[in-house]
Amino acid sequence: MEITTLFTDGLFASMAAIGFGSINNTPRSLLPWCGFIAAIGHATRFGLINASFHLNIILAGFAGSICIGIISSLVSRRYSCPYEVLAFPALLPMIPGMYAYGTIQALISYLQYLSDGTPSEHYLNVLAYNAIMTMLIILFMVVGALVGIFVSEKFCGFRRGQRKG
Amino acid sequence: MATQELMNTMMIMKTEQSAADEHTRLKIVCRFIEEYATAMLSAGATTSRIEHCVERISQRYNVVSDLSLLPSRILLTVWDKNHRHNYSLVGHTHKNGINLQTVTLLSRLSFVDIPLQAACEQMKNIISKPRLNKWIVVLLTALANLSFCRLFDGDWCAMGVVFVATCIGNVYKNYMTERHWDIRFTTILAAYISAIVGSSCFIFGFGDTPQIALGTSVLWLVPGIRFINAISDMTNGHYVVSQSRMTDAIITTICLSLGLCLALLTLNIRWK
Repeated sequence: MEITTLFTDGLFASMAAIGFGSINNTPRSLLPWCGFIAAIGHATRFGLINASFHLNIILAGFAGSICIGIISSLVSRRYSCPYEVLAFPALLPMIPGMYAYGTIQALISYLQYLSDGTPSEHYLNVLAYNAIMTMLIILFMVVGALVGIFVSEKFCGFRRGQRKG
Repeated sequence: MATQELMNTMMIMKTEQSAADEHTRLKIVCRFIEEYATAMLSAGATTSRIEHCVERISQRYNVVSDLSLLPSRILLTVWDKNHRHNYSLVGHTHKNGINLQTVTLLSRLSFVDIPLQAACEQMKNIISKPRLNKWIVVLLTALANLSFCRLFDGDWCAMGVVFVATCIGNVYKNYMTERHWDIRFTTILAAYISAIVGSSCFIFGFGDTPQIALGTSVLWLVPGIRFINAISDMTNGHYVVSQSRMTDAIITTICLSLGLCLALLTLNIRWK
């Protein structure tokens, strides 16, 4: 894996985060930061998935979101804004959208093939796989971000509610 | 004797007067906190954030507040420090979409130490702030979906098609939202239009990755922040709000898949 692949992955992830952040009306001054944090998180995940040991997508997402949590907690102190305004748009490029609607599509295919009388159990498998992957990826992602925030608050001597200015 | 009676009456009147004053003050503070919490919940703040901010505001204005968060209502009771007077309100949330700018500014408002009157005015200004220009949002969303297509290893043709599909779908979605059409119907139709445009790779044979173009063309409709909020509320122990947000997100996902499947049926594309 080359460094340029990682870099382009981060670049496109940051574009995705800025675009999806703008749908949710993220403050304009924070959008570049969202992009930067998303780039680091997504590049971490991409690097771990494509490394020689090929980490699972769920655990790789967990590692990436820990990075997102730590950085967004540090940056949110600087700009005195809630950490979730930075962390949640940055997590958006990692949302498993394909798995999410793959679940519904597998359901429809299952019913369609069942009425045809052809073997359709394969689609039931696909449905369960997609549903479980969607839930687990999102769960580990958010928990990872919260762990990152907790770690940075623990080790930087900072508690929520104590903010300058 | 007469003087004693007069003094007693005066003291009772004074206590009543101060009780009435205290009650008026509580009423104003309660209305402020109710509007604040409703605006935060409607804008998609996490429940832990709302609780922290409300706690801070109550400490600053010297009251004790008890807040229950429900999916579309909030129940708020405000007490004075001696627990002698209270005031309760029920707030109704509205569905204007997630607005992280409101969350940021309202959260900042809970840190600044200003009189109640000024805080009320600032909150009104924050809530009435306009959103980002919708055409900029259309462009940025299309660029975001284009990058998504690239992240799934789509080629340049697929990326171009996805860009156009997102633009057209989003313009139609804005049109329908402005006319207050049903949000689920809007999602189905927007997904349908995006998928029809996105399948042009299949029909005209552009590029080598038509499947990725078709698959990513509807991804901009996935309600990511709602999913994340739901899990975040779950970790905070607010299961009712979490369930409601998760159901909302799942319904939107089902609607967009229906739109995609309708498009596949219309064009008779066998996919997967």
